[in-house]
Order: sequence, then structure tokens, then C-alpha cells
Amino acid sequence: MKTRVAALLGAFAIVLAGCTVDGGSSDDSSAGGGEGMPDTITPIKARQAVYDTMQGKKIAFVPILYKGYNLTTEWGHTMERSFERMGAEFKVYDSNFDTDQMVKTINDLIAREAVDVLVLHNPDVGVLTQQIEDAADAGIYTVVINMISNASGDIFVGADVVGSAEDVAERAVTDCESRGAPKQVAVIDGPGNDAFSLQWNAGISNTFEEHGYEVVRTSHAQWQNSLANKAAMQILQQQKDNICAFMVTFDLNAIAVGDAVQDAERQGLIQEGSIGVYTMAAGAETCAAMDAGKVTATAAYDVTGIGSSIVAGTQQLLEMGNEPGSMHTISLLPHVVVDKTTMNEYTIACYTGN
Amino acid sequence: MFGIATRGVDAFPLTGRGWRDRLTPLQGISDVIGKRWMEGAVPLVLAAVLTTGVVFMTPVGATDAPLIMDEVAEKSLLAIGLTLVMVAGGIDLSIGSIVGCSSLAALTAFRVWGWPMEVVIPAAVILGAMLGAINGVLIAKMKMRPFITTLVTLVAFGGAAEALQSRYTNQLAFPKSDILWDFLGEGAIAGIPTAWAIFGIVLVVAHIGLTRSRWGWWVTAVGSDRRSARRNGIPVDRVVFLTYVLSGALAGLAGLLTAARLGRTDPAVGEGWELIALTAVVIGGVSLKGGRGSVVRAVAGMVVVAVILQASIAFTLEAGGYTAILALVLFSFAILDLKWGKYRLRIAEKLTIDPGRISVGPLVDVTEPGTVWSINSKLTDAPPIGLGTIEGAEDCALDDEGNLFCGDRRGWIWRFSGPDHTNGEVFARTGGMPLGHAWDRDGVLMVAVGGMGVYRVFPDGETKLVANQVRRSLTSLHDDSALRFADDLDTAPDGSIYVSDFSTRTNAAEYMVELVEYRPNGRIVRIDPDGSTDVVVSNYVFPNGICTSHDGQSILIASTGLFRVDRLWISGSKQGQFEPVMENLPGYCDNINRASDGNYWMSFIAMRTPMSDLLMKYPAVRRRMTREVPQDNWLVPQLNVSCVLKFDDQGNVLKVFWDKSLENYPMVTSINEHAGHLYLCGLLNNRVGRLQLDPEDVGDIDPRLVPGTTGRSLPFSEVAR
Amino acid sequence: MGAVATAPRTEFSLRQRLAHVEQGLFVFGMTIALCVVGALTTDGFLSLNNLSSILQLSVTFGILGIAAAIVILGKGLDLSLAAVAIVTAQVTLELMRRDLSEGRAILLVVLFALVIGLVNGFVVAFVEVPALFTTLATGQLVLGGVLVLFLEENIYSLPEGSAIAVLTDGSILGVPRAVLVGALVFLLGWLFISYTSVGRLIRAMGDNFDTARAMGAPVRPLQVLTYVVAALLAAFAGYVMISTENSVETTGTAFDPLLFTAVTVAVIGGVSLSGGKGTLLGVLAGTLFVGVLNNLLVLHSFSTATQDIVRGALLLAAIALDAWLHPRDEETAKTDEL
Repeated sequence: MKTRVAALLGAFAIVLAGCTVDGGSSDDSSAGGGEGMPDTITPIKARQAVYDTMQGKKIAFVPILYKGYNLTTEWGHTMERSFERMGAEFKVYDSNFDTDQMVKTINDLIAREAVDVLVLHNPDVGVLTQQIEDAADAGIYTVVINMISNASGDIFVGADVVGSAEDVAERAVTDCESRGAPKQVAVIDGPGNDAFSLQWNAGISNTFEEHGYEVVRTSHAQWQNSLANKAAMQILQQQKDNICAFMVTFDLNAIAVGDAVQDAERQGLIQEGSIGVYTMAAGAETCAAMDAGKVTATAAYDVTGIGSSIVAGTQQLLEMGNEPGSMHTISLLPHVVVDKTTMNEYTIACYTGN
Repeated sequence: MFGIATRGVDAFPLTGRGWRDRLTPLQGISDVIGKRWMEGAVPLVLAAVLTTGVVFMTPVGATDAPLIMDEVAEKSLLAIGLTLVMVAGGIDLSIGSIVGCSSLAALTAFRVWGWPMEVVIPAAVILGAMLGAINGVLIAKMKMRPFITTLVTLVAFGGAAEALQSRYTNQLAFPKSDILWDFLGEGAIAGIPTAWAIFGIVLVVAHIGLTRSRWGWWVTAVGSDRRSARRNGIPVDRVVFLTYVLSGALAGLAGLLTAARLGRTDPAVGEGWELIALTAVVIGGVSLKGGRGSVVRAVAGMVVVAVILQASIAFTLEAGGYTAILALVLFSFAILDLKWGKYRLRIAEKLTIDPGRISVGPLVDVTEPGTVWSINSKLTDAPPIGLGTIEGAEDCALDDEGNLFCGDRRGWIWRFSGPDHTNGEVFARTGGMPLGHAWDRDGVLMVAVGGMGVYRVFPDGETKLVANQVRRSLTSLHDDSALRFADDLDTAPDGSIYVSDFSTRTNAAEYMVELVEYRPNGRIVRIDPDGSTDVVVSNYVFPNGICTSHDGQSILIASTGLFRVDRLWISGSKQGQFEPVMENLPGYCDNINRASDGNYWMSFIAMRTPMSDLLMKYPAVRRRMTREVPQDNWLVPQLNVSCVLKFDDQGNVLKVFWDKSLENYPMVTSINEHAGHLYLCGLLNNRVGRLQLDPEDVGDIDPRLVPGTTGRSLPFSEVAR
Repeated sequence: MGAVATAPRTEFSLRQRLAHVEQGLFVFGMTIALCVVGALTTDGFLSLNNLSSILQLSVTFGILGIAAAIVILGKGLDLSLAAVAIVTAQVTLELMRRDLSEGRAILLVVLFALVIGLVNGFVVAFVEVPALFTTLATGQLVLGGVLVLFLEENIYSLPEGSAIAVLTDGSILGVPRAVLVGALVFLLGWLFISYTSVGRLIRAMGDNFDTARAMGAPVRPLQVLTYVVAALLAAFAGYVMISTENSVETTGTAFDPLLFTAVTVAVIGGVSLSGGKGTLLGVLAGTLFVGVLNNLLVLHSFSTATQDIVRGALLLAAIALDAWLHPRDEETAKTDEL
């Protein structure tokens, strides 16, 4: 018996000794590219240098949703126009809200080292952490857009969500005060663990706390219109006129919430015009919804600008040729609160996705 | 695969055919697809082909192997659990949500509640097991239907996961580091990633558990037939309950691993995994009807699914495309599994009869007057023993006190007390078909029992197995280890027993198939005194009689199919040589026994006819006959002649006795001489005949004694065990 | 009358007596009890507005429940129902987006649904693949295939003023049109199952497949018929769904909550998964029960997650009750009856 125990302990010790935690060996192969541009260069040569750098580079864009979604197609088309003209390969990998699929796609691209730059759209602050590190190890640059991650990519470009939320909440407060409505609002966000929802909630609570407003309900609609619609209907049935605004993180969800509000008005559940729907971003559909009175106001941020920034940032990364993962930058883009009457005054509102 | 395993002396050349006639291609195919493991092998081979095709035709390559393996390791845990549940006749759709629950609970416990990892790891698995136990209680104890129940729990557990996630959304999103957590997600055990190692251990344990342990057999029994399982005392409810608990625990483990690897904190973790596991399990040939399935095959199915998934990603197919392809695969494999399961045995059965070609010599005309063969009626009036009580005594033996022991096709051995043999009683019951009888050196009765092997029968009627198998030949597809059709035996001076085994393929009850097939499937087996067995002659066509020669140096073997008698030297200068004694006889030979005057007795069970000779040349006709004509109408040698001949060691036929009328002895299969009488046995007779021999035919040898021995110390009735 | 001996009364256990009560009535009773509880504990539950909203929201899964029930009555199972409903809505709207007239789009899509039903029925009845696998696969195939090959948008909204919108728009004589549509489908389904010979044969087939076949019932064509009817009803449910919800997304899965609700509505209503047992009145009762339950959960501010848990627990209780009232005969039950 003793020998058996000893043998077991020995075996266990050997197994334990064999256990390792992979720290991630750093692979020094970089994505190639230059050492930055020379101090002086003629205009024609400068253009040629950019084209030479970009020639044959492979860039992959992995959005949460692509097909039929103005936001990501806007970026996709911008990148396509730019990169393909310069002789780089550009490809979009649509995850269609399937996080499993997205992670697998990214893993596959990293494993096959099939790309030089990964443009990521992160559904959940935690989920791509490992992938961003792996990409750096594999010598691949990562450009994270709009949805920031716990792990920093080489570049982050996106909206100032907290700022947008603060500003549009300010607008909601103004509207509510003018109606003399109760100081209560409801929030409908995404899954809740994503950068957008986290920042949105932080932003609106900044404003609402300042004005003494209370968030009575926060529903996670998982970016799904049907869920957003149902959540709004439920809140309306429970709260009726006790709230004055819906703060919806995702503009397309806001349209569904607007539908629910209009249905409730039609059914006489609430008074007409007693509840506003506020969101951020202003694609063409959102503008149409504002026109139809479903969405009250939105913080339109520079979506086209994000597309352009990705293009510029990618070129900068490849021209500088720093080792992937060695430097991290985060840039935020401007926004403006628009409503039905003002939406056509700003170029950054009502983008079409082309 | 189509050949014949040759051991000892190869008797195939006696058929007069070349190597091509050794091959039995159709039978080979039938043997292969009739194997039990073929049930899963065909879908699996197709899956392997599909996988290989995908790997070669898409950008998926070696670099993707670790990713595929990650996927396989995690989701196979679900497939293994689902296999257990399905083998026990249930289904578990809730595993996807259990993954979500345990994954989010592990993350919450670690990141929000700050539990130490040493607690979180077992807790996640236990949580899975507890959720599985809910399913188990509902299904096993409350007798709810598994499908609808787990469909509901799928939604309910999903709700629980979502509730947990939305309660702690903000805190959940921010990672915490821990050595154990990293070990689970990115670590390795002896170079093997942790998740793979865990999966490997689970796979081995589950496979051994399901196939080698009592509990595994219970699971299979419950799934195959719940009622029989309960009646056999298997605790059905407990087994079913446990399968759900295990399935839940494995899903919990998968959830823990995925949490460590990806750290996803949205409530959709695990969503749709149950369908992926189900697809893998179906590809692996696990039956929805229960009782059939293997975890290894389920894992192979998961490999296929993972490879397809990887290919769809490498091809940048949208998520919908992957779903659609997976559905198509599920569809085709469900149909394939169903149809293959249904038709496999039918095809095997259709191909299993594969007649061969035999060359035979010219036919001797026995009706020609003036030859030794002249038909007479010498047997007709032999007085009967046991008339009406015996059914089909193939052979008999007589002891020193004159008692007659003979077989009966109902499995009994009769004893008719000597010397008048009027009182008969059932002496022993074998349970098989007692055929050849002989005495061994110690005076104990030996019986070749068709379908069972060789038995010793002691004076108290007890039977004891001597041998029923030989070592299986390595090159034979067919399991030829059993003595399926031992039909005669005799003892050699050294105490070893020689047994003729009519066929290595067919049981005694199906001898008609052998007669149509006409393949050299028979063999002679030697059983040494220590009980070990060896094949001494193989590829022999229907050995049906065996007899040690008077000098004890050779054995004589009668071939029913080739109308001949051969001699195998077993000692002396010619030891090991094989030579013909009589060839091209006019009838189908049966048992040989020694005569008291130094010659041998042999019987024919049927006579050759021009028709039967002709059929030998046309195997295709015989195959068609087996397919299109009922067995009663098959043209095979008709067992309806009584013909006894005496021949000498050189193979000269000395005398032939007939029952021309066929009234009393429609067939004679064996003749035993004792004290001036011939005892006539026949497999289709209702009696044993006792024919008084002419004094000129009687010598002074006791044919019952093993040659070379001088008599026994004790009579049979006093032989000790 | 004293001369007449009283016949010995057979004593029935509570369970036996309950088992003989039509489960539909039982569930109606439970629904009413739930309504009473709701009225006592919840403000505004009894308002006309709320009651009509309960009915309107129940129409989609009620119709799908009928579809599920018809297949289950014939001893089948159709897991592609939700997929068919979702795809119907998506494809019709996509066709309309491509400037096809609404009528033609609907015609094409209904033909498509018919084909799906035929494929399901053919594979189950003639190829003899278990219905569970067949319909799971067709559902996924249709959803995935249509998404990849045909759809170009992520969210489809119903154009203003389309005929589909009219389906649930407004009310007639104070009764919401959606409710009338639902009632009509229930009535037709009930007449079909209870009073036509085809309906009776379907039930006979579900009750005892072998006997029905031995009796000469055309079991295979009947099976195909049940799947076709179910697919067409699912397509109709799809139209009702977009008509009430105004939009449909492309992220649906074959295990959509809609499918789950449809199957459970049928099961709660007493349509036993073993086939043959149950009526469409029971399905109606089940629909109302789930509708009222959903409403109460919403009015009591349960989150969607908690709602799923509560609903799951209640459904399990209902199924457990069914298992208790109609226990499987352990001696004759086949193991493959899932």
C-alpha cells in the first residue's frame, strides 16, 4: 500500500512538473515595411513609397456584423477603396453576431499568418484579449475600432462614447425638463460587457447624476432588435408615463424601441410624445427613423472619419514598421448631437454605408 | 483476405483446381461487412475521406491543426456526454446552456466573488453535474420525456446564465490573472495543452468505462431494451440518472475550459453547441434509438465537424454557410447511418454463400453386374435396436459388457444394455448433436458433438469438454477457432485424439449450405492428451470419417465431398506424409471404423449421379439455386442410400453390403463391429441395426481398442473420473 | 327501486380521475386561475387593453403551436417550424426589396414553404430518417442557406401599407384583427383534425402507427401531409410575426425561442409527444396559458432572463404533470420514444 501511494505521489509529481503555463514566446518577425519615411521626399516619390509599402499587404476586417449594416460597410468600403487601389489585399470576415465564429476566424488568420494587419471590432472587452496578444506574437498589427478591448491593439480609433453619451443625455434632460416629465429614464444597451455599453452607461450616469435623474431599468438587448423591442414594451407596460426617456446604446435598436413607443402611444398606454428615444450614431436608417419620429435625438459621431482613420493608421503602422504590439495608440473622434431638424446640417450624420 | 488459411497439410490440391479457386471474393466481402465493427466503420471512413478532401481542397492545413484540436477538445467533452446519454436511450439538448452557466459562473466566482481557483475549478464541474442532475431527476425519476424536458431546461438554464451575466455585467468584463486560470487556458501538461490533456483523459476513461466496465454494459443494456434491462436487475433509473449527471459534468468542464481559453462574458457562450455535438455524434454513428454508439467514434465525428468549421472559416463563409453545410452533413450521415445499418447484414447474408468449383473423376457405375459393387439386400433384414425410440443415431460404441451407446439428434446419448439391447435409457445429455463415438486409451467414451466440440462421457453420464477450439489462424477473416462441426473422432496410440471438423464456417444444422457451396472448408484437428489443439490437415473437403489404422501409425480420413479416403501418417518413418488410399469412389463417404479382420468398414450416405457431378462444374448455377429456390428444393446429394463397404489398407474394396429396399435402413452413416455383429447407425434412421456377420468376415482383433494397446484394465462402467 | 342492487362502484384514484379530464379543460382552468391571480396582484392586468394585447401577442406562437400539434398528433416532430416562419418573413421582404410585387413574393414564398414541407415529409416518411434529425437539419439548412445565398440586409422592416401589415392592423367590431385571424386558423385546424377523415386518420396513425398501416391508412402520404400543412402554417405564422413585430433579423437560429414556445404550447395543451393524444382545443388553452403567463411575468418586471427561468420551471411542472397523468407503460414503452 505504501509503495502504491508513493508511486502515485511520484506520478503526480511528474505530471505537475510537466505542467507549464505558456507565457507566449515572442516571435520577432515583424510585418515588414519600412523604417518610416525619409526626412525629405518629392511628392511623386512619396506617393510611390506609400504604394510600395502597401503593395501585397494583406488586411483583414473582422466586424461583429457586416452584411446590410451601414456602420461597418461604411468602414469596409472606405478601406476597400483605399487598400485595393494601393495593391493591398483587403477582405471582410463577417461574424454576424456570432462570437465563436469571430474568435475562430481571428485564430485561423493568426495561425496561418494569412494577414499583415487585423482590423478588429470587439464584441466584448475580454474576449479578444488573447487574440490581440497572439497577433502581436505572430507579427501581425491589430487595429481595434470603435469597441475598445482590455488588451490594447497597436491602434485604437473610435467614437468618444462617454462624451457622446454625456451630450445626448444632456439633450434628453433638456427635453424632459421642457415637458416637466418625471426624472426617470430607462436604458437599453448591448450585452453589457462590451466597451460600448460600459462607456455609454458611464457617460449617461455622469449626466443624469448631475441632474438628479434616476435610471430605473437597464435591459441588455444583446444588439438584437427583437429583444430591444420586447424590452421596451415591457418597460412601457410597467412604467407607463413614469419614465421620460429611453437611452439606447445602439442606434438600430433605438428604431425598434421607437416602434414600441409608437405602438404604446397608439394603444393609449402612454401619452403621445411623453417619452423620447435617445441614442448615438446616425446612419441613414436612424435619420429616417428620426424623420418618422421614432428616434428623438442622437449623438452622431464621425463614422466616415473612423473609416478614414483606419486607412491612415494602417498605412502609418506599415510605414513605421515598429514591432507589432510594441506601441499602442488610442484616438477618439468627434460627435455632434442632432435631431430631426438638425440632422441634415452635418456631414457626419446620416451616412449611407457606401 | 480472400484466401484460405493453411495450417498443417494443405489438402486443397485434392480438389484438382488452381489457386484461383482458392479465392472466395464474395464471401470475403460478406465476412468483412458482416463484422460488428463495420457498423461504424463505413460512416467513419466516409467521414475520414470527407475530412481529407476538405483538408486538401481548402486552405486548411497543418497550421490550423492546433485550432482544430482546441475546438475538438472542448466540444468533444459535450459529444462524449451526449453519447453516454444517447447510448442509454435518451437525449440531452441542454448541454449548450450548461456550458454557458458553468462558464459564466466560473468567471463570476473568480472575478466577482473572488473565490480561489482551487475552489472554482471543481465548483464549475459540480455545477454542471448538478444541472445535469436536474435533467436526470426529471427524466429518470419523474419519467418525463427526455427531448421536451431537455429542450425546456435548455431555455431555463440559458435564462439562468443570462441572469447571472446581467447581474454582474460590469465586474465580469475585467480580467483577473491567476496561475491556475492561465494553466487551464494556455498552459500545458508535459508539452500537451491542458485542455487537450484533459480531453484525452476523459476520452480514455469514458471509452473504457462504456466498453469494459459493468456500468458501461448497463448503459448499453438500458438503451437497447429498457424492459429486459429492468428484468435483469439493472437499476435502470439510476443508470439513466447518472448518464445525465455525467453529461452535465462534462458540459460544466467544457464551460470551464472555454471560460479559461476565451474569457467570453456574454450570455451566448455555448449557444448552439448542443447542435454541433449532436451533429458530431450522428456522424459518429451513435444511434438515436439507443444501445449503439462509441465515444471514440463520436469524437471522430467531432473532428469532421471541426475540420468543416475550420474550412468554412478559411473560405470566409458566413456563419449561415457553416450552419447550412453542417446541416447537410447531418442529413447525409443520418441517412447513411440508417441505410447502412439496415442493409449491411442483408448484403452480407446475400454474399455469404459463394459456391466453388471442384474437378471430379469419372463416375463408376455400380449397377453394372459382376463387380464388387453389385447391389444386394444384405442389410435389409438386420434386426433393429431401439426401434422408434431412437432418432438419428449417427454413430455408436460398445463397451466390454456389450452395452450399446449411441447418439440421438435430440442431443442425447442412449445406453442399450447388453447383450440383448432391449432396455434403452437416456444415458447422457450433450445439448448438441452427438455424432462420432470412440473410446479413448483409458476406456472413456469420447463423443464428437456437432456444434459443441469434443466431449468425454463418464460412466455416470457426466460429460466433460475436451476441446472446442483451436488457435485462430491469423490470415482468416472468418473466425475459424471454433470446432463448429466435429463429426467423427478416433484415438491414436499416443493418446492424442484426431477429430474431423466438417466445416470451419457452418454449423451442423446448416450442412445443406456446405453441400451447395462445396468449398474445402474442412480440417482435421489433433487434440493432445494435455488438451492443446492443432490443425493437422486443412482445406479438406468435408472430412466426415476418421479412423486410426490397425498399425497405429496413420489415420484414415474419409472425404464426403471428394469421394475418397486419404491417409495421414502420424508416426514412423513416413510421419507427416499425406497419401491417397481410395479415390473416385461412387458414393459420398461417411464414417470409417476398424474391422476385426484387419480391414476397415466404411459407409456411403449418398451415391454420385451424373447430375451431381455436373453441378460441381457450375458454381454459378448453384449460387442462383440458393437465391431462387427454397432450400427444400435444392439439388444436393440426397442422403438416401445404405451402402457399407469393407476395404483393406491398400484401398481395395473387398465387400459391399446394401439395403436394396431402403425400407429398414434408408441410410447408414456408421458401422461398428463387435463380437461378430455389425451395428448399423444412420442419422435419419429410427433404429440401430445389428447384423450378424458371416464367420469368414470375423477376425480376432477387437476394433474398439486403440491400436497398439492391449486392452483396458477396467470395463467402462468402472472407469473412474 | 329497492330491488335493484347497486352496482359496485369502481374506485378511481385521483390520478385516474384527473387523467380522464380533457387536458384542454384542465389547462383552461389553470389559465383562469392564473388570470384570477393576475387580477388580484397586478394593476392593469384586467384592462381591456392588456387582455387584447395578450391575445395579439399570442397569435404567432399559437399558429405555430397548431402546426407543431398537427405533426405531433401524427407521431412526428417538426423542429424546422421556427426556421420556416423566420425565413418566410425574411425572403418575402427581400423579394419586395428587389421590387417584386407583394402578391408574387408571397406566392413564391408559400411555394417555397410547400417544398420544405414536402422535403421534410418525404425524408421522414419514405427515407425513414428520424424526424428529429430531419427537421433539425432542414431548419438549419433553410436558415443558413437563405442567409448566405439570398439575403442582403441584416434587418428587414415591413414597408408601410403592405398587405401583410393589414393582417394584424386595427380591429373589427372591437376585436383586434390579429385575434380574429388567429381564431380563424384555430377553428379551421380544429375542424380539420376533429371532423375530417384525413384528420382522424392522422390521429389514428399517431396513436398506433402499425395498426393504422395494417388498417390500410396511407400512412406515408399522411405523414407527408402533416409536414406540408405544418410548413404552410409556419409560413403564415411568419407573416403574422412580421405583421405584429414590423421587422425581422437574420440572426435567428433553428432553436429560436419561437420554436420552443410553439412546441411547449402544444405539449402543455395535452398533445402528447407520443402521438395521437390531444386536441387543438388543448393547444388553444396552452396558447392562452403561455400568453397570460408571459404577460404576468412582464407586468411583474421580471427580466427576460428571469422570465426564461420561471417559464422553464412552469413548463417543466406542466410536462411533469402530463408524465404523471399519462405515465409511459414501462413494459411496452420503446426506448426510442424521445
